[in-house]
Parts: sequence; structure tokens; C-alpha cells
Amino acid sequence: MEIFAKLDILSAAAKYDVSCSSSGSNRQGAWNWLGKPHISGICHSWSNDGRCISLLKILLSNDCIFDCVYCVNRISNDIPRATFTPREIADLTVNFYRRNYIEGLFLSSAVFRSPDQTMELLLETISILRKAHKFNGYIHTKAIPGASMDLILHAGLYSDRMSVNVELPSERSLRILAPQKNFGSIFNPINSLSRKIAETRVMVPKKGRPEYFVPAGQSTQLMIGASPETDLDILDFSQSLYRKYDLKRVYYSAYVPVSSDSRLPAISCPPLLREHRLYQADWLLRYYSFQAEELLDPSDQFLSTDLDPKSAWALRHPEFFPVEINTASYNELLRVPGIGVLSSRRIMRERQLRSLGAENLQKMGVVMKRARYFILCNGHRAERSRPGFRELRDILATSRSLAGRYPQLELFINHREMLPATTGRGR
Amino acid sequence: MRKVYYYDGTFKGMLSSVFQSYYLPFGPSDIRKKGQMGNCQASLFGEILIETSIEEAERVYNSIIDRISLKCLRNVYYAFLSEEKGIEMKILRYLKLGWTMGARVDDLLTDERVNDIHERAWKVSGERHRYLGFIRFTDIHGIYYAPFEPSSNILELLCDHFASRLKDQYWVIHDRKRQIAALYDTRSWVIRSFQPSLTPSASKDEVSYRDLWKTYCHSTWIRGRTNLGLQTQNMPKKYWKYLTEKMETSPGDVKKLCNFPEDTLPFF
Ligand code: SF4
Repeated sequence: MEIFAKLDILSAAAKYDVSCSSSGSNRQGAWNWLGKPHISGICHSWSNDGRCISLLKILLSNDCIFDCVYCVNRISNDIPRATFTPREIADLTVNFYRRNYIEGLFLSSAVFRSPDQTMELLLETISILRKAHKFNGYIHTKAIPGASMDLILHAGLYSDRMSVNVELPSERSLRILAPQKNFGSIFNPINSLSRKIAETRVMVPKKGRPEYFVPAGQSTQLMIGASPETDLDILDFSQSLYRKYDLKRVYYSAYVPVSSDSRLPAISCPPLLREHRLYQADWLLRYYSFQAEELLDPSDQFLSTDLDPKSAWALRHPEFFPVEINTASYNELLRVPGIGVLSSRRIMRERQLRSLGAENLQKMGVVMKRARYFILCNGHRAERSRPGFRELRDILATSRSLAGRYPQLELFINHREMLPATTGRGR
Repeated sequence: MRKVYYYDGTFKGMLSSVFQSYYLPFGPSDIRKKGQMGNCQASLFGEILIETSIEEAERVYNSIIDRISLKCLRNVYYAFLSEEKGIEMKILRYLKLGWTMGARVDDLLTDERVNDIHERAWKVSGERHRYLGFIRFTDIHGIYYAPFEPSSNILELLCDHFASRLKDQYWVIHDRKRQIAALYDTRSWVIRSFQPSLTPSASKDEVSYRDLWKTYCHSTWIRGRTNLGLQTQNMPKKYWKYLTEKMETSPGDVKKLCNFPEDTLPFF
């Protein structure tokens, strides 16, 4: 099969993996190596779906022996199959890199013949890149569930980032939708990788180049909308992944319907708005010191569609406001709608030089349209009027502006009604 | 009457102008590049031509680092590269404030004198970052050539980045708007004025890698999530001219592929 056809098939098969980040690696190569990771990552292009293209994201093979219901590559699906040789991938990567098309390689694979054999091929590919081509660009490698731990850890020596896709946030869903996988085959590698990463980080050699082991850390991906878990379940799950395994990122991927299997919900388009809200909430977990339990409680387990999670929290907690701009702590500032990480930092810096009035804040990046109802500047309210709850809710609601970005909003099906009966988890 | 200073358009020239104006009780009413001088011959009354002096420039340069901060120098340089009309006077105002306040000047985010410079510097560094991704090289018999047309003069800001990653490659990055190019010979880079002069032919490999890249960009697109608005928001159309994946050309048509003006291609 010629290389064009392979590339066409194997990049189309890899596109549902949403992680595109090429950031966070500090790998230093020897002086004569090709390439260098950029600490904050670089986007090289944007695809027609608006997602950033930073890495050459491909599968080594889509010829899978497993039968995960939600996946296009499942063995029972009748599609063209292709498999790259390690050399072909290495060649493509280097030549794309030299033309500045990409930051590096994102290498994943379906389970080709057996987990071990697949992992061996992945390992061979990245070792050709690092050793033969002296390639020092970014490499993200997937660990194949069920492959031997030695192979997986070996791949860590050549990778900037590794990931094992959890996909389904509960063991139950996994059993139903991915019958050949189990929680152990997914969490054992996550656990071993996170240990080895932590160990390597504390061992700095006295001389010579430090040894690298997955310097940009581990990530994973959860699929949204293919299984009945609530947003609270999902955020709880992510939070424990961050805490237990020190994951760098959890990606959320709206389930794109690829099969009409009765075990899957019948939806006509991916729940992109839900995915978007989960990203916002995830952001709050990682950078705004929110807890999953604060964002949602058992009585309402789904994030609001027309309010972003932070505004929703603010509306539920009137007792927290108003916040005095000139004295509040960093974390308190972060909780004000309309104030972000950047503007909080700016406020902290500038208020050491002078006291801040409402008129200064706009320039510092604060979205006053939202923040004004929640702040005091030197004891004065930034906004005279005191809108009631409903009014305030309307001001903060973003549904109208989002409608343009998520055109399928009208089609968005209430998730509660769509829970498949097979799970027996009615609500 | 307050004078208008004219300088040669270089950073050193601008620093010399800053030096000259700093010791005068009344600074200039404006500082402009020589090219903007109406009629050079009859140097009108009130126009002063500033000689670029390395020594004066260095004194200003060092005094920014010593008495304000390295960050301030970076801001000044980036803002200067924006080549915006009137940027020189804004830099002068910012520096004068800096010399009275020291390093804290950059915390005064709401002061217009500071904000003006921060905004320009931010814009330039943003454009630089975008071009780190958008530069596209074409392999012309072992020389990797990349044309572009940035709105700010950021060519120099790209060089270290590409010299440190594409170390073993001969490359040329060509700012077609300013007719200058950075030339790199696997050891070091220089910037000089540049007009392409030879007729080239790209290798067969080059054509197929371009097509492979286009294939990739096309097949990585998830149809169900199509969002062209978001695409152009992140990658405005003005950048598309030189993006391989956005060029509508038949394979093999190399001259068009590289978007060359006539039948010319660059040569060292
Ligand atoms: S193992 Fe991976 S590629 Fe194979 S069917 Fe399951 S999800 Fe798809």
C-alpha cells in the first residue's frame, strides 16, 4: 500500500484523540541533535474543525483485534485497514519537522496482533527516531493496555509524554463497552509510569546529561457522552487522577457517534457544549483551587448549560461576595466571575504600588461586565444597582454567544433522557 | 521651537536619539525614521538628523539594564520592532518614567506610558510566537527556504529558535515585505538585504512531502465538529498565503508552491 493511502487512513483513525499539546518538556539534546521542544508548545496549523495541529498524530495500525463498541477501529467494523512500518513513521516525522510543519509525533495504535507486539512496534519507531535520526523533537507515545510493563517503561525513556486512555470513567461502563479491557490493564501502567516519573525527577545525576523519563508527564482522555456517568462522576474521577497519579492533563472528548450499537446512546452529534463545560470545570480544578464537590453536588450532578461553572458557583454562594479588590487573597480574587489567573496576578502586583479603583480594572484584563456585581474597591461597590438573582443569572449566562460556536445546541439532547436502559442505572 | 529628530531607522539609531534628547531641557517634539523625512535635501528648519553613535547607544542600553531592568530593555526592543508610527516618542516617555522609578515601572500597568509599550511589545511577541508555528520551509536542493510577510519586523526574533532546532540544515527565512532574509549555514545566521535571483527546481521528494502534509491536514479534520470560524480566529487568513496546507496548487508546480513573484528563487 502506498504511503499516501496509509497516512490518510491512519491519521483519520487517530483524530478522535483530542490531546494536541506539545508543551511542558525540558528535554535537552546533545549539540548535534535535530530539534528542540518548546516549553509552552507551538501550534502549527488549525484544522477545519478549529482544533490546533501541533503534532503528527497517527496510529501505527488501525487493524485492531479488540471490539470496543464506541471505536471506529473495532474488529467488527468493516473499514479499510493499514499498518505503517516504524521506518515510514520515522521518515515522515523527520521530514515534516524539517519543514516546520509539526512539533513532533503523537504515536498511538490499535491493538495489532497482540498488545506486546504493538508496543514493540511503537518502541521500535521511537527508538529509530531518537537513535538513528537523533531526533529531539516532541514525542507523545500511547501505552497499550495489556502490554508488558517493561516495554511500556522502556518507551518512557524516549517519550516526552505518555498516556493511557481511560476513555470510560467507571469499571462498569468499561465492561459493557470495551469487553476486552479491564481497569487493571489501564491503571497498572498509569500507576507504574507515575512512580517512575516521580523517581526520575528526584534523581539528578552529578555529571553528564540527566536521564529523561516522560519529562512532560502523563495525560489521559475520557470520552463524554458514550456512557451514563454524570458530570459529577467525571469530575470526581478526574480529580482523583490528578491527585493520585499526578497527571498533567485529563482531556475530554465528546463522543462522536460511529456506531449504531444498542449499548450506545443514539445521538446525532457529539455533545460539544458538555465537553466545553467540563473543560472549564477541569480548568477550575487545576488552576483555581476549586474542588469537584464545590462545583456540583449530589442533588444536581450536571453542569449548567447556559452558565459557566464559575458563575454558577458564584450564584450559589452570595455569602462569599463582595470581594475587596485591594485586600483579597489571590485565591479569593480567582473566584470572582470576570477575573482570571492573569488579571488576579496583575491586581496582586499593582496594588502594592497604589490602591485600585474600579476604573483601573478594565485595563488589567478584568471583564467588568461580569465582575462589577461581585467586588468592592476601597469599600465602594463597583456597581450601584443590585440586580436580583434572576437578573444576575441572565447577565452571566452565555448561552447566546455560545450558540454560534456550538451550532448543534438545539439538537443537544438532555443527557438524563438518553441513559441507555442496559446499564440499569436509571435516575 | 521644538525639533523633530530623524534617525537611520536602526535600534542603535533610536537609542542615540534617546541619548540626545535626554540631556536637553526640552526634548524633541517627535522622533522619526529618516525615510519619513519629507524632503531630505532641504532639511527644513527644526529638523535634526541624528548621527547614530555606537557609544551613545551603548550608554543608553546599559543604563536601561542597570537602572531599570532587563525586562524593560526587552519591552523597548519589542515595541521598537512593531515599527509603528510614533513608537519612538512612546518609548522615550516610558524610559523617562523608568529611570525615575526603576524596575517597578513594569508594575504600573494602568499608566498609559507603561501600557502603551506593554501593548506593543505584547503584540510583537504574539506575532513572533505565531510565526514560530506558521513558518513553512521548502527544500530546494538542500536549502530550506521560507518566505513570509510579518507586520512587525520580527525576523531576527525567529532566528535563534530555528538555529537551535534545525541545526544541521541550511535555511533561509525571507521577509518579503522588507526584502531582508536570515541566512543560516549550520553554524550561525546573518540577516541581510535579499532579492532572490536564480531559477530553482524543487526535488521530487519536496513535492510529495507537501502533498503528504496536505493529506494529513485534510484527514485529521473531524467532520462532525467542523468550525471554520474557530479556525480563522486562531489562524487569520492573512497568514494563509505561505501556508503549504492552504495553497491551492497542483502538485509539481513549484514556483507557485513557494509563491514566488516571478521566475525567481533565492540563492545564497
Ligand atoms: S483497543 Fe483501541 S483501537 Fe481497538 S477497538 Fe478498542 S479503543 Fe479501538
